[in-house]
Amino acid sequence: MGYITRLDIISTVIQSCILVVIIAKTIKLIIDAQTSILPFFFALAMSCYLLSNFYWIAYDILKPDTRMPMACNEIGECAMVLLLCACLKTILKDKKIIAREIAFAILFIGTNIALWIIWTGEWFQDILFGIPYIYFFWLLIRGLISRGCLSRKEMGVAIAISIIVLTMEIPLLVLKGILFDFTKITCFTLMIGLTVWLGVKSFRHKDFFLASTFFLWTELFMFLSSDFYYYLFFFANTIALLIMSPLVKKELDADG
Amino acid sequence: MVNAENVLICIAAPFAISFLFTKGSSRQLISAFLAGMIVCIFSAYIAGFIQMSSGYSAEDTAIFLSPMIEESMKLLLILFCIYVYDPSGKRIELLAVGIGAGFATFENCCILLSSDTQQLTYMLVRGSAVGVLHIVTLVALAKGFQLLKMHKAFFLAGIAGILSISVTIHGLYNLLVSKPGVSSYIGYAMPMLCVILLYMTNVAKKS
Repeated sequence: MGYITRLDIISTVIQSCILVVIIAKTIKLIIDAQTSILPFFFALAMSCYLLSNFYWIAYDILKPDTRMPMACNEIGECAMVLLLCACLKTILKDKKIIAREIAFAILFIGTNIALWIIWTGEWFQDILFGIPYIYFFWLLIRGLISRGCLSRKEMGVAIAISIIVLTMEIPLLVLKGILFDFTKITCFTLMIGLTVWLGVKSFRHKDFFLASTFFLWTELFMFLSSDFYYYLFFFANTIALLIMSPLVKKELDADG
Repeated sequence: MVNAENVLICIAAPFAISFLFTKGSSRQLISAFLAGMIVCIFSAYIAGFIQMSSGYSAEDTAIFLSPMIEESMKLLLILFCIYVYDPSGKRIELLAVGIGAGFATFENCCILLSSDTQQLTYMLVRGSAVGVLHIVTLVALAKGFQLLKMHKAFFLAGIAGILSISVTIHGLYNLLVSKPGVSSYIGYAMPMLCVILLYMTNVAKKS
């Protein structure tokens, strides 16, 4: 078993333990606030994620160092995104439909999906399981704007960095030698910088939409990375879960 | 090689006749049982088609794709019943048990006919593991739907969440039993543990 597989097992086990705690706490919330569907959806989303993690662990142990084909855990992750969408939809007050926001969400996630397809060649699952991310991203844009979690300047910078990262990923497919190393280092510096900034922001602001944006960005950066960098963003993803969990209660309290 | 259609006709005929002499919930259970067997054969057709068109090996199809196909087919049948007949919570569970039992019975029959039936231990494991698993995933689906109805959340995201739970449990079982050793023992024990868990939930709910 290679060190990457071992790292994968360890990080997934740690995240699973955290997910168990999060689910237990959310179930308590469900019992306390029986009428609200927000904690119910959140608990269900986390359960899907947990089962998906169990599947990963079993796969890594039974078939180490092999690439997992299209499998059951993908449905779990897709369902988790849909359930998080349902969570966001229940707390989103301003559901205005603005064409340019939808177009941007489609373009941004569409570019991500195109890159996944170029790397893996698994077009069917990448498109099918990538579509919910468009809806998730659109809900986040709407929520961030309507709640004013980020200023226009901050949002512009975050979007610009994300677009630069995506654009830099394209030459990485063909570049070689020192130019490749330089582009890669620049790309990952930007990605790590944006992740840290989003993490700090969502921790300070304690807003569910901002924390969900942090979560989505860690997921997207995970899919854009490999080896060590992948686990770095996986770690950030676990932190995003920890930030999101208490915010469910905050949203419930705010809702009265 | 087993002619699954012939096996289906052979098993389904007595059940179909029993319709004439049953009423109410008994008739519903028998219908669900028959529907479960039909869903099983359709799932096998679809899995076969996908295996041919995707280039997956038979083993990979059984481990990675079959759980998705089988659980989705069972889900579609339950959704059809829910949308057309709007059954109560208890009736959804009855339908789920019937469909699961029919599915498992037909699958076991085909396995028995196509492989060696000399080993009692293997047959016991087969019956009490994979046979039970189909009932477990369907009862989990039914209970999930009851929860969705209770929380007024019966739409795509909720349904996908419940489906993913049943698919992942089924997939995890298939993955665990695919390799001999400790993992397969865990896999074989999993359905029974789930039954105990679901039964305890039922008892706790009643008390």
